[in-house]
Amino acid sequence: MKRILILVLLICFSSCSDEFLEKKSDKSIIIPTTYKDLQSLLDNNVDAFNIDPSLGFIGSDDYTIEEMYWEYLYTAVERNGYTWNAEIYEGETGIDWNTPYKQVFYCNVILERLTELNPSDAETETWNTLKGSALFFRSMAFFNLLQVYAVPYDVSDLEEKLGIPLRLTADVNATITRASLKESYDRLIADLEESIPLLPLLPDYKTRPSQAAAYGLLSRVYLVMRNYEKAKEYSDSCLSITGSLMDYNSLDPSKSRPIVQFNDEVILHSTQVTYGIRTDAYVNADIYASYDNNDLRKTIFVNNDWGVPIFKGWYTGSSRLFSGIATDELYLNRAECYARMGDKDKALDDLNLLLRNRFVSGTFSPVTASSAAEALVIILNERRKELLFRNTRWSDLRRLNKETAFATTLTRTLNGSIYTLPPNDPRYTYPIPPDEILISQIPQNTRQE
Amino acid sequence: MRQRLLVLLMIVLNLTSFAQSRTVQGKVTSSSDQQPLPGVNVIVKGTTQGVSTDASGNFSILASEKDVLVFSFIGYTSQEINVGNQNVINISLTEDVTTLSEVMIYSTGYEQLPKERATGSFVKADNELINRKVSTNVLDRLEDVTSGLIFNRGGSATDPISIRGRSTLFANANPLIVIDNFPYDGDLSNINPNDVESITVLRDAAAASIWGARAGNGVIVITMKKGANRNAPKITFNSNVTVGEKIDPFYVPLMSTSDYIDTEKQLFSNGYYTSIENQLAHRAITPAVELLIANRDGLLSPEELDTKLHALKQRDVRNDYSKYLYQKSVNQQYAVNISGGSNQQTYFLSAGYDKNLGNLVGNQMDRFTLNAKNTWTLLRDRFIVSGDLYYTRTSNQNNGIDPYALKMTTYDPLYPYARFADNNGYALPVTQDYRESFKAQAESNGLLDWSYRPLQELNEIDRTTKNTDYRINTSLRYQIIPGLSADVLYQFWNSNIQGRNNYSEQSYFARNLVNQYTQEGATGLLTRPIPEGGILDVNNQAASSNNLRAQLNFSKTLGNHQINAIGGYEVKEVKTLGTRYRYYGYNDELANSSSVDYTTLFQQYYYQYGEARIPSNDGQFDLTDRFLSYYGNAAYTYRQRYTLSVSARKDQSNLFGVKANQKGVPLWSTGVSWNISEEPFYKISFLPYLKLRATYGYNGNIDKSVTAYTTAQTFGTNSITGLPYARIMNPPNPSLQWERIQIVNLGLDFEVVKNIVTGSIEYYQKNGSDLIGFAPIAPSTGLTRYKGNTASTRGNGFDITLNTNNINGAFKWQTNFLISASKLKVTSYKDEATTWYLLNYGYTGGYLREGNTLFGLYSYKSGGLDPTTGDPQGYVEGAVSKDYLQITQTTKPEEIVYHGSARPTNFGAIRNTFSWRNLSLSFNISYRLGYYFRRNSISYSNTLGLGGHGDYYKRWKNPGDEMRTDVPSLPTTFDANRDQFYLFSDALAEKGDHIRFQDIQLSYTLNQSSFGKLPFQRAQVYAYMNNIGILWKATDKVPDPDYLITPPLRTYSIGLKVDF
Repeated sequence: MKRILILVLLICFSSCSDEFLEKKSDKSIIIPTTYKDLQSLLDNNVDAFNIDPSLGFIGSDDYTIEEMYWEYLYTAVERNGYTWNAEIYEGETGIDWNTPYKQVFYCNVILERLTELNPSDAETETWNTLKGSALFFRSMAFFNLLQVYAVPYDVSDLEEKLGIPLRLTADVNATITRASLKESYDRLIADLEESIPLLPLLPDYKTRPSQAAAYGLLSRVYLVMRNYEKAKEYSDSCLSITGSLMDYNSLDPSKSRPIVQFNDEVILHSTQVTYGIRTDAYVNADIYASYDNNDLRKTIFVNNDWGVPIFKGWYTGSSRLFSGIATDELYLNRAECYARMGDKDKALDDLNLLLRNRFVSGTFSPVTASSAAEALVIILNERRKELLFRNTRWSDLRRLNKETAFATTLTRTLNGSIYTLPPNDPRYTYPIPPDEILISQIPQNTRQE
Repeated sequence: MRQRLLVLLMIVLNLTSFAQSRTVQGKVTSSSDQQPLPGVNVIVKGTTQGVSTDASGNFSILASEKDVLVFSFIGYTSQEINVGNQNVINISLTEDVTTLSEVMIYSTGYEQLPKERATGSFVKADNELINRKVSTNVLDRLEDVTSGLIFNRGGSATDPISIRGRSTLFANANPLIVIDNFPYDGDLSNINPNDVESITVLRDAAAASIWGARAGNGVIVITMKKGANRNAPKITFNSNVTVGEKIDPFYVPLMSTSDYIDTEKQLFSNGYYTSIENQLAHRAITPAVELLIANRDGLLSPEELDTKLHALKQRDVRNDYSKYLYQKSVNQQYAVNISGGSNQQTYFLSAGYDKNLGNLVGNQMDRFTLNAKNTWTLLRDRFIVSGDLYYTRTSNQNNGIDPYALKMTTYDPLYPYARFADNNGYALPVTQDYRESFKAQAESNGLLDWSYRPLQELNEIDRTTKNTDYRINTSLRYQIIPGLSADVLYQFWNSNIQGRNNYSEQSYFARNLVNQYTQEGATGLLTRPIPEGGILDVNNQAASSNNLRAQLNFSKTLGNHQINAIGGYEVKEVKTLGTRYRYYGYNDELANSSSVDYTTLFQQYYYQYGEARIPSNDGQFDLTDRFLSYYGNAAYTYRQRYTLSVSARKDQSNLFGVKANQKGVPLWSTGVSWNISEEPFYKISFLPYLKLRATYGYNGNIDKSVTAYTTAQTFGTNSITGLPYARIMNPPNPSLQWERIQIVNLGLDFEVVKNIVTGSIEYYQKNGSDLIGFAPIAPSTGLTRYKGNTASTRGNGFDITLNTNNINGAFKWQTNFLISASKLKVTSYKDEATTWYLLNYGYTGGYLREGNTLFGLYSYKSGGLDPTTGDPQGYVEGAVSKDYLQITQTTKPEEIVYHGSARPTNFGAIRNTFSWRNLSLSFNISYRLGYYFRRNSISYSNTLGLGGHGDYYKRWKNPGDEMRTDVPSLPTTFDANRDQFYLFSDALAEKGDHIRFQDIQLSYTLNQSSFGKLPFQRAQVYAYMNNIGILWKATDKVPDPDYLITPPLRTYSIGLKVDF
């Protein structure tokens, strides 16, 4: 009898042991479990989300910096990045790499938790939004990493070229090496497409993802892939949700920051990691010179009070660089796609709609072109003038270098030395931070031919 | 699997019942003390059939009428009994006088293990040894009597005791304490040492791995006293009083008051106080400087100034510490117990009361303990039920003021000419927080009295913590068939701690807070966001645990083969709940309080630009630890010569990861022992006893700061959207598991003829792997540093115990040597600490360097003093340098001096005991060798060394002084890096090696047997003195390397113990 009792006791304990051991050991620390917990992780735009790499900006020709300021730049990454050195870190850590991967980690934590939750009917929408948001943010992080740490997209050798580590689990012990370029782009596109039906058309807060943002990002992705039909299609989808443009006539150019945060054009608010270089930079003199006197961007984007063109057209409302998604970029994407697809009129319609909102009222005369090719040149030129200090330039340089007509050699002068970055140079792909290479043993990028 | 085994076991055991015999039961006790003897071999003569007695001395064997039972046990004379028609055979064995070896029974918390069968490393402190010392706390009694165990002193030791060194980096480093078979989760000060029978320390894997994931730091098993069968009621009374010396406030030399004031004068003339004077926050200024200011402002004549300063120079606040804040400690202890029993029932009842007055006036502790234990033996000894209640109530009053906590402001120390009382003993104010002139002005504006009188605070603040702790144990043992029994044990523990800090309305603490927040309107109208009245902080903690254990015990002797095995299942839950809150405007008589506004920022009365919220002291926590464990232990002995033991335990916990819980391998150990002296070929006559032991296995450890789950912390609102947001604190780590400590132990036990020398020598290796530590991690994981199973250590050492009988006659002289060595090296640790951290915290173990020991002392290499200026000199890239900025900023971890361990690597004690007739005297000399410490010295700071260390007087003053001193000159300009360099230079690193005369005990015993008619059986008067002094030390720079701030306090005890 006793023996049976003990046996029963033992069996009973073993079977309910799983539940017994799931009890949280310390209540004061939250284990992100509820929808509210997960949303508050996604709303961490203090040190996790809505922060993108800035290396693209650092390597771009949107700006120049004077020697005296360059010398005092705080990080080696900025100093070496400006002169396109092969090695840039000098032992420093790479926040441009770490930050997107932190987002990937948060997203994986959220996605893994969501698979354990079975939403009721009333909770389905919340569940969907959370899942869509995590997929969106993870894809955006992957895309941003690819623009900096992987070679420019090209249909040839897609499967041989190295992409980035596609970390799809929150387990920090998992070893993951670099996926191919094809796998990398395929994954982020598939995830973005999956996110669309889950997301709201427009978000409650512009720091949160939405369908409009997902379409907008896909348009950007396909443009980088030089798939203009898809890029146009997604610009359409995005602009059909929100296409509002700010009339710059309503802005006050005398303000130190004339453009506000979360303005009508912003679809997703995002800023670049903060390097000191952004506030020491001067706007590229050629671009500044190219603004028509009636072009309000000349006074809204640039402060020339001290005789040097200092940027002030932040779409962040603060002195942080904008890297989010806004309608002006989408109009330019679509205009470019139309032009490349031969539809000159539609291309110019989009361009003129944008420019009408940028010129002093009554002074604007619509742009005309004799051919789609001519329109393309005009559109690409306007793209530079509109998306200044916005982090799109680096990706544009990488893709346009593939076309002989638009390939550019970048040059900088510093301390009497001239630095150049020829088209398709391997230095268009940044080195992966040394701590990553050391620990995970993934292959480093080649920077010198 | 488990079920199948059980079924198999039952079949095997049932087979035996087919034999045509009947069951004979009985109990074997020792004739000397009637205590049950476990492990006695009971064999049917001429057969291979046999059993051994269980923990309660009971046996049950199948035998027929004509059989003869042979009872044998090492150390006792064998007895043969004819079975005849007896069903119950109770016998007592008498000790074998020819083999004088003691029968040592080790308790593991799961079984009683005779020394003969042990393969592992056990140390036992018996009742006599435990009672040699006088203390309130039971653990104190283990010091210097258990080899391999060290009490960590100095540094910031969070682990008061280490057994064979430390084998974890950041996880719990305390040994597991087991009381009444279960781990004790409460405060050990709740246990009355008078209720303790013996203490067994489990040191290696074979001994401790039965405790699995909690055994990594060693296990201390405390066995409580219990009643004895067939004993008339026995009453024991014990009482003692201990008086401790007062703390010597002059222990650490400091700058004299006279020089303090002269330095203040110097600083004043340098303009040092100008900025403080102009501070808008009215930072307090010492009375001497206030006099200097008054003089400068023409309010005090130079003559008056001199007179007043001269008067101040005569004072030394340390005299007031001694007079008003320190006191001699007085500890009183009273304990009484009554025990006894019949055949069916035993009982033990005890009560104890301790009253301790602490070293600080206002500190005292009261402890009341009550213990009732009953055991019933039923169903013809087949069923044993026991119940036990242990109740403790302690009350701690911590009202004392520690002089080391006294400060004038957050930035300034208390000035040495402060005075706490006038000649009539009336409490005097000392300058505190704000300038007296500001306070006077505020008071005239209607603010509360703002002066701080330390002696008044003693009466106005009551900090009391009350703890009610009780344990209820019940256990059932049922003998299923002879040799197989089942146990079910259950323990419930509950602890309720109530802390109350009551700051009365008159306390400075309350008045100061009220004043700080007082708002002054335009018309001078005062409002008080913190209401006038007292402040009460309440801190409650409730903890409880449930422990349940089911265990099968098997023991069988078949001829030369003896098998003992246990297997069981255990489940445990500990819940701890804490809440903390504060009441403002508290009135203790009416027990009412007022609510305050915690959200508004209030302007601070003392600082026009300062705003602050009313401090809230509220908080709570809710912790739950759960464990599920399976364990088993088996030993096989052949011919009493060879023993093979195996032990395994699997722990699952809500702290571990899923992987560790489901797939984790059990922690296991195995051991062998060989009684060489039992071999027929053994002929060494001067060594009648020789035994070799070897064990190997793993113990585990838990770090509660990491969990397998993702954890996050939430924050109010983010600045961009105003939404609440969360940050991930701990990444998910499903493979998180316990730390594993692999231990190899080799032991040799021996006995020289006539017990001239007995002892054991043990060598061990202790290698920690999967230790929880920080490690850099690939940033693509989303983190750059994480805490997980990443580090490993390698340690080794030896423990030697020698007991010698030097003179054995009417006059006896015994010596006990405890000699231990323990080394540790961190073999893998990737998150290397920077120079600054190694220097500051290396010795605490908080920051470490791969390849060195865990508690490393590090220093800057010193190049002596500059002969022309007396500046300290260091090195930059190998060259002598005075570029302190360069030294402190660029010296790499590999360039600093690594002295070695900051914890003793060799330690032990030698105890001599002399006895003559009824008089016994013993004294303990302990030693600690092979370690380093950093002594304190003068930091000049930007105040010319004001109030600094007494090394000020040894400083370099003139060229040539560098030959006799290491202390740098007074700097001409302030340089914080110069201080930093000197204070962490190797000039201040010292060897800690020393030998200490620890204690002495003297006792006189009256026995009924020798004295005849006495109203009691036995009475003992004893005297004990502890912390006698240092006999030798390697350093001449400090009085005691282990006590740098306050001296070890000598205590004197006297007591009486009577057995009725």
